[in-house]
Order: sequence, then C-alpha cells, then structure tokens
Amino acid sequence: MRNSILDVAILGAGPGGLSAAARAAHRRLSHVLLEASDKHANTIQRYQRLKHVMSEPGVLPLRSDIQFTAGRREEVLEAWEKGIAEKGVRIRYGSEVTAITGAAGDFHVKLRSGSEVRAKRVVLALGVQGNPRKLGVPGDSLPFVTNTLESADDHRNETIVIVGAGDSAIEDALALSRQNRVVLVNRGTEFARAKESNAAQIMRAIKNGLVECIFQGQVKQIEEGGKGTPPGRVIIASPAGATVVACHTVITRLGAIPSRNFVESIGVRFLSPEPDALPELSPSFETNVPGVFIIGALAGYPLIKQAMNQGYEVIEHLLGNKVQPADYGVLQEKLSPLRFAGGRVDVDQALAAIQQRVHMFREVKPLALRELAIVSRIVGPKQGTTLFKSGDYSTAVYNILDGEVHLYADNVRLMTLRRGQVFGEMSLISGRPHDVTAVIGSRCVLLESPHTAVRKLMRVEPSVRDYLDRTYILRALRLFLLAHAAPESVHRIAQTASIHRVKSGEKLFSEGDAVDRLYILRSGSMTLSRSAGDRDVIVAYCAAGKFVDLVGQQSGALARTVTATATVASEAISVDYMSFCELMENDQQLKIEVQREAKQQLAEYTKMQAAPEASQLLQFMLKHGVGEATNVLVIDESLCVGCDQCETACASTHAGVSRLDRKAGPSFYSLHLPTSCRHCEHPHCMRDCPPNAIHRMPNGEVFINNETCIGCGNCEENCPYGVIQMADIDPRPGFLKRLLGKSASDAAKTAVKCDMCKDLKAGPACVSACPTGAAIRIHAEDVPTLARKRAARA
Amino acid sequence: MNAGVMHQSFFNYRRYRYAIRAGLLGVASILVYIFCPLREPKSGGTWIGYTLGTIGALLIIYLAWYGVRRRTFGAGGSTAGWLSAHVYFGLVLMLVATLHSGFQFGWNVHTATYVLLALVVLSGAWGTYTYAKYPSLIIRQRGNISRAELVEEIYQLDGRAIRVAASLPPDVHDLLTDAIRRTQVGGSVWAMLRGYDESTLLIPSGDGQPSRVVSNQGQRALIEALAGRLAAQADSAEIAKMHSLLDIVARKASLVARLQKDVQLQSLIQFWLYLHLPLCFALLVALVAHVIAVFFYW
Repeated sequence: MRNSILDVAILGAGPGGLSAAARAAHRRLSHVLLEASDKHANTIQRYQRLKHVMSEPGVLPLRSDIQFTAGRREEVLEAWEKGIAEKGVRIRYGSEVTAITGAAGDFHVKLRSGSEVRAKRVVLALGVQGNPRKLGVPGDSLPFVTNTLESADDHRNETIVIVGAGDSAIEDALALSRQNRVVLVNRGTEFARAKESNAAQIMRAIKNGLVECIFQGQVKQIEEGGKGTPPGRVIIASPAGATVVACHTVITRLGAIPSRNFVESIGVRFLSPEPDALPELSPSFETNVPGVFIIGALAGYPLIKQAMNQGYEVIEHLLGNKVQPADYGVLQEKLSPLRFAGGRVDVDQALAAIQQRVHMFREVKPLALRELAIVSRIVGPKQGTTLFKSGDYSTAVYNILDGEVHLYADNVRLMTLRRGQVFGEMSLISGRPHDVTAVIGSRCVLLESPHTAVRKLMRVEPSVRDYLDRTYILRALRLFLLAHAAPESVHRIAQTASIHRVKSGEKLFSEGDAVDRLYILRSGSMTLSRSAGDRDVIVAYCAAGKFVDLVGQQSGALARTVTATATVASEAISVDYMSFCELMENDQQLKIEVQREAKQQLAEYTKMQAAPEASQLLQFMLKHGVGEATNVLVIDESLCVGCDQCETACASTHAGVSRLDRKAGPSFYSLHLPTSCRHCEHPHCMRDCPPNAIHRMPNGEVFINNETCIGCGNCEENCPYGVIQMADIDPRPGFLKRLLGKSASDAAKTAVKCDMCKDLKAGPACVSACPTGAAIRIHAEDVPTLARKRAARA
Repeated sequence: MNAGVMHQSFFNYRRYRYAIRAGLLGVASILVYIFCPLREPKSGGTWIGYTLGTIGALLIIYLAWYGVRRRTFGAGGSTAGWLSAHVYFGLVLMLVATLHSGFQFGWNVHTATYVLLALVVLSGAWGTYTYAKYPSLIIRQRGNISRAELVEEIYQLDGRAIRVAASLPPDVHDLLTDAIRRTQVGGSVWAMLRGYDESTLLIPSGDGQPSRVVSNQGQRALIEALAGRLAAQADSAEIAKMHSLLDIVARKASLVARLQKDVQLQSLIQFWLYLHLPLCFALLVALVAHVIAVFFYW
C-alpha cells in the first residue's frame, strides 16, 4: 500500500485503458491500470471463439503505442498481452474500484479489497458493458460458479442451477434442459423482464416438467459437495422452505451494474437522464470534475480504434501537450473545399466558421460538431442540378453553407432557402420519401450529413432538436396546408402549434372528444377506428405526412367520430382549430383543397366500415409491424405450394445465403407475412450501427454494406422482426487455389438481410421467381386496399 | 416491380392473357382442320399435318424451356407468367398434336410419342389441379398453426404422457413408450400418398397368446389396451392417472391424424412432378426419334 501519489490512475483495461497506460509508460508517468476482473479487454474476451474483430472506421488512422489490426479475437488479445509486457504497463487485476474521492492533484481511488490508490488524475476507460453482478453469498466464487455459458453442448447429463429471470437466464435454461437437469431460481413469481416469447417458452417448459423452477427463491449459500457426489451444493430458500440441490454447475445471470451509477457517484454529469446519454466532456475528454477524464465507449465512441486513439490523446492532454486528434488529417481533407486563401485549411477555424454560419449548429458543442463533420461531406453541385426529387428516399440532411436552393412541390416553387438554413429535415423526421424537389441555385455549397449522425446529434444537443422541430412545423404547414397563404398567416398559425409524441398503442384522441386541434402526422402511423357494438372497427389507416381525421373538421360536428391510435411510436403536430378555420374562410383555394381531402377520407371510412373482415386483416398486419414498413413481402397461402423458389432465388442472387425465411412468420386469413426485411421508415437496424454501414437508396431500399460491416450484431439484436442474420458471405478461394492449400480466409460473419434486389434491374427475385404468383411485395400504403380486396374474395 | 396490389395467380395472369392466346391457337387449328382442302385422308404427312406438327414441336420446346427459365434467377420477367403460358399452351398442345395425327394411330414410334405426350399433359393437368385445390385445403386442415408447431405439440404431449406414466405400473409405462416409438407418420412414398397410418404397437404375451405386433392406427390399439387395464384397476389414484393418460393419448391421436393428412396433401402437391419431369424427358427423346423417322422414311 504505497502512500505516494501517482501521476495517473486508469480504470478499465480495455483498448482505451491499455492504450492510455502504454502512453503513460512511454512518457514515463507513474501510473496504474486497474482492472476489476482477472483478464484484460473483458468485452472482447466475451466474444465468441475465433470471432473476427474489425478495425473500422477504415479512414481513421491508429495512433497508439499498442498494436491493433483486424483479425481473430485470439490474435488481437495476444497482441495486447504482448503490448502490456513490452511497454511496461503497470496493470493490477482483481482491482474493482468502489469509490473515488478527493480532488485534482490527489484523488483517493478506493478498491473493493479495501486498499487505496492515490493519483493526481484519473482516466475512466470503463466501457459500457458494466460488471456482472455477483450473488453476494458465501461460496459465490467457487470454481463451478460462473456467469457465462459459452456453449450448451459443453454440459451433458449434469445438474445445473441457473439464477436469474431475464432473457439470458431463460435462454441458457432452455438450451441446457435438452440434455441436463436444470433448476431455475427466480427471485420473483414471474418472468416480467424477459421478452414475451422467452417468457412464454419458459413457462411452457416449466409446465411440461422440462425445467424445474423455484419461484421466490433466493440462494443462501453455495458449498462444495463431498467426494463421489456432484461438486456443488446450493442451498435455496423459498416460501416452501429450504431446498438443497446437488449440482455440477451454477450459472448466475443477474445482469450487470452499469458503469454510469459509479461514474455519477464521482460527481460526473451526464447530458440527460436517458440510459444511453453521454457524459459532459471538454474537447480534451475532461469531465465537469477537474482531473477526471473519460474516453472510449463510455464517452460515446464504441469502436476500438477510436478508444485507442483517445487513450493516446488523453495522456498527451494530461501532460499539457496540445495534440491534434487523430482525425485531424481526415477532417482537413473533408473541409478542404472551404479553403479560404490557398494553403491547408485550419480545421478548428473551418469548424468555427461552419458553426457560425449554420443556424442549426449555433449552440452545439465543438466536440459534437466535429463528430458530425467527420461523417459529413461538403458538396458544391452546379446550378440547376436536381439534388433530390419528390418521392425519393434519402438518408442525408443538408445545411446550406453558401448560395441558394429552391424547393418545389408539384412544380410550384414553394420556397427558396439561403445560407445557414437546413433542408431534407422533413424526411429525416418522418422517414418518408421527400415531399419536395430540391433544385440547386447559384453558387451553392452544402454540408451533407447522414441521418444517423444528425439523429445522434439531436439526442446529444437539445438545441438542435428544438431548431429542427420549429423548422419542421413551419415547413409542414406551408407544404400541407398553406402553400398560398401569406407568410404572416403561416407564422401566426405556427405559434399555436404543438408536438405530440405517442407510444405504440397510445391514443392521440378518442371518439367523442371535442374537436379543438387539427393534426398532421409527421412520423409513424395511426389507425382510425370506430366502435361498432362490442368491437372496434378500423376505418382508416393514416401514414406520416397526412392529416389525421380531417373529416371531423368538415362535418360541422364538434365531436370526433373516430379514435386515433398509434400503431408504432408516432409524432404529430397540431394547430389550433379555430385559427385554422378563420384562415380557411379567407382563402378560397385552401377551402377547396381541404374539402377535397375530407371527401376522400370520408369515402375511405365508409368503404372500410362496409368490410369488417378487411378491418381485421388490417389490424393483423399492423400488429405485426406493417405500419412502419415501406415495403412488405406478403404470401398468399392459398396460392403458395411450398416450393421454396423464393428462398432459392434469394440465395442464388445473394452469395448463397437466403435473406428470407418463408416458413417463419405469422399468418391470418391465409395471408402470410414471412420473415423478410420490411425496409422500415425508421429502420431499427440503422439506429445503432457503429461504422454506419447501413444505408437507404433513393427508392427506399435499406441495405447493409458488407464491406464496412464489422459484424457486431447490433442490427440483428435491434430488429424486432428478426430479419437480419450473421453469415459469412465472402467468396471462398477457387478450386485450384484450395488444392494448393489456401484455405478460406477467417472471414468474419457480417450482417445480411434483404436488400430488395437493388442491384437487379428486374426487382425482387423472390417475387419474380414465384411460379404461382403467391409472393408479392407491396408498399405499406397499399395494405388497406389489399385487405379490402382479400376480404371481398374470401 | 411488383404485380400490383392484388396477388395474380398463374391462372388469371394478366387477365387470362395466355389462356386467350392458347384458345385462339386452338380454335384456329380446329378451323383449319375442319375446313382444310385436302384430297387425301388426314394424317401427319399432309401439309396441314406438317404445319400442325411443326407448331406442336415448337410448342414442346417452348414448354420444356420453362424448366430452364424457372431456374434462371435475377433475369427478370415473371415466373408466374411463364407458368401461366406453360399451362395453357400445354393444354392446347394436346389438341394440336391430336389434330396433327389425323387420328391415325398404330403400334409405332409416332403413336408412342403421342402417348408420351398425353401422359405428360395429363400429369401436368393433375399438377395444376393440385396447385389450385390443395393450398387452401392444407391451411384449413391444419388449423391456424404451422406444421412445425403441430409436430412440437405432439412431442410435448408425448413428454407429458411419459411423465404421467412414470408413476404407473411398469407394464403401462412400457406399452406407452412402445406406442410412442412406433407411431409412424408418412414413411415410404406410397404411405405418404395414401395418408395411411402405419403406426404399430407391440402387445406383450399374455392371456395365453404370444407377444405380437398389431396395427395402432389412430392410436386405437393403445387406447383399447389402456382402457382394458383401467377397467381392471382398483386403486383410485391410479385410475385418475390412467384417465388423464387416456385423455392425452386421445388428443395426440387427433393431432397425429391432422399431421398425416397434412403430409398426404403436401406429398400430393409434390408427387406429380416426379412423373411429369421424367415423362417430359422421355417425350423429348421420343420426339427426336419421331422427327428423324419422319424425315428418313419420307
């Protein structure tokens, strides 16, 4: 227990921590690298055997004293092990930190063992996986107690006790029950935390006696068994008394303690209470607590290379050296069109200039803007170019750095935008195709940023979200209602606007409510239903970009005649009904348009009301997520003969891996929704793709770029429809090469899914290959029509 | 590139476009055949015969080409459209070939070709019938669950039955496990097509009779044996267990029957192709022989 104060204490021996420690060693700083477990790089240790670890983003150079190249998990871990030894990294395992007190210059880092380390500065490189919870009872560290299950096949004819009630515990129990006796210890009386399908499966298994479950059970003690018996004894207390189970293995699945609680206990502020919020950081990674730094995944940089670069940079910052971040060179290239007078562009100056100019970035922190810049592009299209057409999907948002852009709707010029303004934001928010056509004006320079990056910025910077909301309201009103109205009227009505966010299944308004607001749905989708006796009949389906129940306004009635329910998480904007009616009285053209729209909607309601089976079919499809789809594969089971040509065609045109599972998926009224990508309006897969490998084509197809995919599996986990799988699609070496001994490279499994055959002129292969015409791909808007026609036929 | 919002089946593809065209060809052939100015008896050797024969041969090649087209993926077009053309032109081909022959049949390679063609067309017609009728039948028959779920339920029932029988006398337990082991769904091609339940049960020796294997169709033999045991039972706890065992077995029997029917229908949907394709190749060979014979023995 040294009493001397170290220069720096680093917590977490992942890539970020290792890199920081190596740099500290190189700079001859006294340091210690504290790791809670007994191995380095825990997150990567937990990867599957032989899993390929990638080094995206390719464009970013690596600047660290520790080596890292893409390769197998074992090789990467070995290289780091060597680095630890060669660079003289002072690492202490089994050193979980429980508290940090003190101030810059003398931090007291208290360990669980009771000892203490003192350091002038602290660097947190804890990652986001958290430490797995332990049972906290005597015997919980015995050798047969573990918190992972590498492979169920490793256990045969054993008795295994599993403690936990979440998805991992259930999945382990189900997998092991096939060849072992499984005793599941659940603290509660049900499996509320787990996914529905898992909860149902485990209850069924328990009912059928495949898994024994002790409800309201608590493990009191774990002991070693005697000679000649299974190695372990577990004592479990429950309302029925104490049970002793002789077992071979104990698996604890108690979740992980997120590092955030610990970090906040030091005094570090996070940007918002949401679970994925980032800590407040300065450009040199310092938190609001002076002397405490955060790097890596916890700081919002989930990729290995980023963490390692930051480990290097943070130590340099500690020493007072101003190093340019590793992305400096890359940013210089990107921002070179903004060169002012010859020479190389100064990145910080250029970013400051952009921030000044662009309204959206006015209150954004420099680090956040930098992160957006590195994935953006500066483009200078020629005057007269059509940047995008109404009806195209896009995945980019544009900010005008210079010049003009004209927006047209139905060949009528809607507005002209100038320097500092944003466009493409409506498509960002609704996930729908563009409503306007954008034509470049004179001397135009644009900053083009991908949707995913802008969404991340919106999460991190509330000012950006507010700005985009305000812009959206004004433009939506102009586009949908008031194309001809005077700007003052638009502004006046915009003052009364509010935004409503509803969760899936929530109601926006109910039948019988007073009509006081006019709603436009800006993202997601809703069903409008009427109660008919004891049931609710769906009379209309409302997609983003449409008025919600305009009929109510026109009939003169003062109460709603339908209930509006969201089918997926949705957002609507509303304006004051009275002000809107006033406006209509003074604007003849507007009145005619509104009346026309209302008439159409009323006709739809009536048609649907006359076909209750259509309503049921529509409800089934919406329940299974068609409401957020843009293009859905539907199979008519009265035509399908099970020949599987659709799957064969898909595999033949896609590296031998079918992206479609015909047999899986729900059915209703002989309409079947197989497991195949729906190219959602707000793709769940795109939400959290670290290397940004998922893109959207102008026609709406969402596809995964397999060359930049790092195989992390986030998209597979996030997709609620299970349409993504991990597969190895790299071409194998040819026959001769294989004879000469070249084996298939250790290619990683990357994520694959349906891409709507975007590279095939003929369109989706599954549809063209179906011999009986049972398979079709339809746009989500056509679903109500399909429902009606099928119900009429049935 | 979708076929519109409505499913278009290969029957009414593009509003029966190919049915209409094939129909027109058929009508034209009949008209030519009836009103043709021939001075000799009608046969394949007349100019009308040669014309119809050429049309027929071209049709055969066009129809056989469907096999190639069906496996070419990514080329575009619609397989359903090709199948639609294949079916309707296949039917009209029968007419064209018959007219081409002038009804002159004999024991020769020409008639052999005709017969093979008839078999091909008949097997195709049978296939079309199964495609039209069976898919809806299959769904209705299976209830609203998938086949995998049906099998899973049967397994679950077996598991439950075993657990109940575990606390019953060993002879009951053995009878049950034997029945489970010998429950047969499908089997040989013939068994699948007939949908016949070939489950069996081993009745152990007793009552002066040696052990024998009997048919357990619909689990009936097992149910009878269990019912017999139940009638001779005195212990009330065991009686209750036997009743619940019988319930489980009865439920399993109905599910197995559904599964067998499902297997039967599915096999019927697929079987005709095992006739249609080999016959088609045989036809192609015979066609070549027929054409060569005609030209060599001109």
